[in-house]
Amino acid sequence: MKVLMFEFLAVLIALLIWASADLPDRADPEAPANQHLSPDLTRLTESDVVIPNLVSAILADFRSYDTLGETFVIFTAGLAVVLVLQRSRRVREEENPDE
Amino acid sequence: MIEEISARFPYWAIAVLLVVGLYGMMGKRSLVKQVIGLSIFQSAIILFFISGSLLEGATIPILYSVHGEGHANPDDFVNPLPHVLMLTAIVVGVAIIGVALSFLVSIYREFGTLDERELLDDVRE
Amino acid sequence: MNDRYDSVILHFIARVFLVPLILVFGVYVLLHGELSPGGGFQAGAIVAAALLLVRLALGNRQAALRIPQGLLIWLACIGLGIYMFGGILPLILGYNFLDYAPIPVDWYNQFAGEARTARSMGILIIEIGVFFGVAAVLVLIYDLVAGSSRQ
Repeated sequence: MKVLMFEFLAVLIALLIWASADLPDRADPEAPANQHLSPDLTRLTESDVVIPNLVSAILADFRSYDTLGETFVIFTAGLAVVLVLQRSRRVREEENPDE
Repeated sequence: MIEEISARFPYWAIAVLLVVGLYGMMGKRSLVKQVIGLSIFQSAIILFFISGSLLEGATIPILYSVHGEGHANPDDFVNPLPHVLMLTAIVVGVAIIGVALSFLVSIYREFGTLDERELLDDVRE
Repeated sequence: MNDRYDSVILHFIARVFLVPLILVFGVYVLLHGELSPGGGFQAGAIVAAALLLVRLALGNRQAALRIPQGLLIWLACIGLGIYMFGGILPLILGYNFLDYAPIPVDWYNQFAGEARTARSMGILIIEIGVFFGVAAVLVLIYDLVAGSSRQ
């Protein structure tokens, strides 16, 4: 099994490095990721939102629904930790009341 | 040759990091090490997005910080969108690790071990 | 991690110098979220780091900034409530959900002598909500996971 796993990982890393030949160069201004949407967001931030920090403008204005869901995810994670740990502590105390 | 390497190097480093994280998740028996592998895997993906946001000759995505008032040419700022996405991804990652650690604490209380095979044996009995 | 490590230098540096500095810097990062690199997530992580530094340096039991668990959950709820308030206030004033344009800022500008726009005010409200949520949940997770390993 170990040998199989290492073979799989070697094939995977070879595939990833081979596939990176098709990706745009580092810091390429012509890359597709830098051509669509982001220039529009920069211009809209200057004309409509009027705050200097582009990241904050996108985070809390253009994508504020996303951030709302994000806050719910964090909150749910906190609640999940509380519920998991308190329940397992309660089970343990019922089993060993001496501690 | 040198240009080719410097243009591709981030992708190779990220591929290595990705595979290291995957090895941590697949090849290690301790559940704690698997969580660490998950965290490394996630860091690789975050680095991939951040390296995609770079632009030649661009500066931080704060308007007016370098070029003065009334100058908002998108080519002069690094792409802010991946930063936003990864900002939220990092915080979700912390939440994931917190929940995973709480599961580990709970498992350790129940079974007294975090070894994958011992846990499987315990569950089968 | 949970016991007090007796080192005067560590206690002095952590309690007198580093923690107040980090707390002030966290609030600075929060309030300048629209002007400079920063925002709610970063400020929440920084403030949580300060609170966790006290726990690491002084031990969980002796930490002066020990916050009860219920209060942390309430703080996270309050953060979500502030966020929802920032979204529902424009809804009441006749705009879309999370559309900050109608938020009243004239009273604030007269009070503070600034020229803040409605949109930056809305973004500040949102980021304060995110800040409370993130800081409270990070401290809560650490307290529960590290505190439960003691027994």
